Amino acid sequence: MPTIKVPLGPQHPALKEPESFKFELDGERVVGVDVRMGYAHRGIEKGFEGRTFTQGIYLAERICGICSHAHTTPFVQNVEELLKIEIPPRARYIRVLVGELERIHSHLLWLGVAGHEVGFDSLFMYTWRDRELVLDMLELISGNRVHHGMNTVGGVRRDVSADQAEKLLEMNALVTARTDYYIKMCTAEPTFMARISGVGPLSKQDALDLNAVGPMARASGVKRDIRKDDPYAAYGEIPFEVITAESCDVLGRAVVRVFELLQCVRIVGYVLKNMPAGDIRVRAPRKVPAGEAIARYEAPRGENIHFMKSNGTEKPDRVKVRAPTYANMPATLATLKGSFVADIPITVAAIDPCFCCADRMVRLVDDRTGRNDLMTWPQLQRYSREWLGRNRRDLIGN
Amino acid sequence: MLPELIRNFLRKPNTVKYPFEHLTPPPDFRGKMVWEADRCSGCQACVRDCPTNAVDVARAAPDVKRFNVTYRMYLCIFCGQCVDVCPSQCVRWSSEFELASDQHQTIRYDTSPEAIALARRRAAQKSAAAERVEVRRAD
Amino acid sequence: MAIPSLLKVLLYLLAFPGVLFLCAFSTCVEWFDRKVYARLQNRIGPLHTGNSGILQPLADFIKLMAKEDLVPTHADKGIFNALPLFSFASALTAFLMVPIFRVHLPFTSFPGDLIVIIYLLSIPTIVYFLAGWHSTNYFAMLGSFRNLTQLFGYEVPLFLSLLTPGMLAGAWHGGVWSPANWQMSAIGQFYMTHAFLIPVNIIGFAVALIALQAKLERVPFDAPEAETEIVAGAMTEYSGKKLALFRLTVDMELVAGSALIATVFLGGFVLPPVALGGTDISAPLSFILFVLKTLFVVALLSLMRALMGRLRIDQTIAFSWRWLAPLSLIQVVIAVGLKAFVRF
Repeated sequence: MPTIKVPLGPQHPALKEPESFKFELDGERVVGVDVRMGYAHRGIEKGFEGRTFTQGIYLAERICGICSHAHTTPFVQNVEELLKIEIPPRARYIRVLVGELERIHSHLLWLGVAGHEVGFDSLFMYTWRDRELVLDMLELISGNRVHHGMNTVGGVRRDVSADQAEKLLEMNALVTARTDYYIKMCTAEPTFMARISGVGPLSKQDALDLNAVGPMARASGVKRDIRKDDPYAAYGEIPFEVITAESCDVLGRAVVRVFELLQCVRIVGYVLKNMPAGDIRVRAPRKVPAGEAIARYEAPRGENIHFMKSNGTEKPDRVKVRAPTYANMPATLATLKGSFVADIPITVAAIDPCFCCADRMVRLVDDRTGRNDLMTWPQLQRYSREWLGRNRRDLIGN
Repeated sequence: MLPELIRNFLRKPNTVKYPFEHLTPPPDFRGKMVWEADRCSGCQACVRDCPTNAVDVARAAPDVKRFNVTYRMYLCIFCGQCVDVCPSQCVRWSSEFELASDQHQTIRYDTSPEAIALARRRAAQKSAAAERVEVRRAD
Repeated sequence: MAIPSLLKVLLYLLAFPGVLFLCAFSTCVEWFDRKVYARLQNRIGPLHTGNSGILQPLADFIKLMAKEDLVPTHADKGIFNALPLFSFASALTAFLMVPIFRVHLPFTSFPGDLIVIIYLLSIPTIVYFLAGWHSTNYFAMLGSFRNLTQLFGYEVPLFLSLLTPGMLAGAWHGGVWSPANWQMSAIGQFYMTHAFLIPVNIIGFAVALIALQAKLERVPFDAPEAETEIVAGAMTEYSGKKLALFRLTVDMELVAGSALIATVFLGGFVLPPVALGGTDISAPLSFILFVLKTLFVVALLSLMRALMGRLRIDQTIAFSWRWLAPLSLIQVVIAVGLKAFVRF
């Protein structure tokens, strides 16, 4: 039977953010898949170059809404490394606190979205209702539910007072109780398990070869977590475990995320009880000496890498962001081959896709010569007209 | 799952019937910024640090160092960098978040006329004292 | 006051309990379903349109009627436009057969009307298949394939389990075995008078509920209409008035199916004459009984919808043939055994 090419996206109820997948289907089986990224590209890396480091923190925050702290922290860590300043220990603990709260709310969001992708709307409603608790916790300490704005060059901007800490501990206990319920749900609910067990397999060797990161890799038995491998902020002093699973399928990814939730609430409890007293920030100069720095952060979706190059002024020369979803794309394409059409949404959702994080740079390559020069605006217009003229028939059909 | 469903059925719904019911935001909530132009010293630190150029500081009168602040709320991202960096504590958070409007909202915070008058009087006193010193030196 | 009988027939067909009543009642039942589903998920459900949201399905219907109606370029216009009317008509006719009152018209209640109503309820499924087939959209085609595949799964258990109470009810003529006449009013009356026999059919009741959920294409059996996988299945290309009719048809199927299950398993709604102060109030009482029993069945279906996630199409077929069909056979054996060895 001949295969049919079916598009999934950019607009599709399964995708929360635009991305274009082209599937080659043979009945209900997927035989080939191609992805075209770049729909959420906004020119943020270029935007960094025209803004000071302080203004750049807020631009970095808005790369993504769910993982906003995951982008500001490596950004300011880079600047602090270039300035060669040490932030006080209390600031490091507060960064961990906000980071872990963000991880909790992101994993709860993922669990809800996974439930919705398999048609289990009750799970979606429950997880998002419990996520409101976590967002209230974040609102209490930072003033905003997402885009917390806690980080600044040299430390954090807001302190956590004693009664805020007490209230957070109470809410943390509630979240822990709900996490136990979700662990039971993920491991014992029959229809949910029937949809995610055995789906989207990724062997351990493939996960290593294709450079999967985050829960995607940990569900295939690869024990990789930046918080343990390359500790930043206060992770070196906080006891926690790295969760892995051996089942290498979507069930493994769900189990990894749900057990990570348990670790997160434990870390939050530990941080709130053992936060060292002291300052929360040190004064940092505005002009940053020339140099290069790399910072890695374990975002809820995996390893987030920021590279920064400064040139002695108060604006960066180049900032490069490599988000975890971008690293997980080749692994996703590998898991999609050979699956059912019905399993496509949950397999794509299993990497917790955050395409707005992932679409960072678009490279223009001249497909005849293979060169990727820079183009001016009139050159780009002329190039796009020529390209459309050559490919008009394929695209529009006339 | 079934006991959980039944339990939720008997519980009050978790929805807040906004706008008929309200939730109060916590203290230190990032609402609208409120400025006091009387205290502004014109250092322009907020203008320099604002990520979106939402603040403008302009001289209120050509003869005295008093400033008016223009706050473009439609550009503000409520980051609070201005609060952090202002040396004279001219700006503070409020809890007002119901700011949706169908027009671009710009608020001009003007220095009060009393402050300008006070500044003028002080400037006049200072120049009178400087004149007296000069006259004495000339003697 | 003698109303001409033709006028009576027309009123019965068009007003109550015909077209107008069914349309109004099915929107209320959709509201009930949505409210129960929402409360199970700790939400409110429809709230602001009308008192506690009861006009929300009507508002959705009116909104859809006012939307733009597009037909795909390469689709067969005649069939594409006519299909919603076929399913609408068959769902309406199916509901006419459900006996609510004691006095009924000869063309709505006759021996064998149980079979007719089951067949009439199968027509909308075929219509959905044709709707997806004629949409020239790959997602719609996939949805209609799944529709037919699911039909092969649940149709047999549904038929068997709905026919079993009728098998048992055939033995009510004074303890002498007599062939079942498959007339729903007779079945309902039998179980109303022999209410202790209702629990015997409990397996059949469960199988019929699950199979009805599969027929209506609701979670966990909504693979033909999986929103996150194939956009809207067979309904993908339908919009505007045609989609409004299709959605109303699904609601009417829900009412007809629930009323059918309530009649056959829970004793029906027809009451003998009940006197209260000289007047016969059995008609209003029957109506109240109809509303209560139908809403009970709908509440069970909503609970099933909230309880589970969507099954893949191959899992649905495996489940139907591995569990539903054998259980319905067991129910048949129980019914036959009871008739053969027990006298009442």
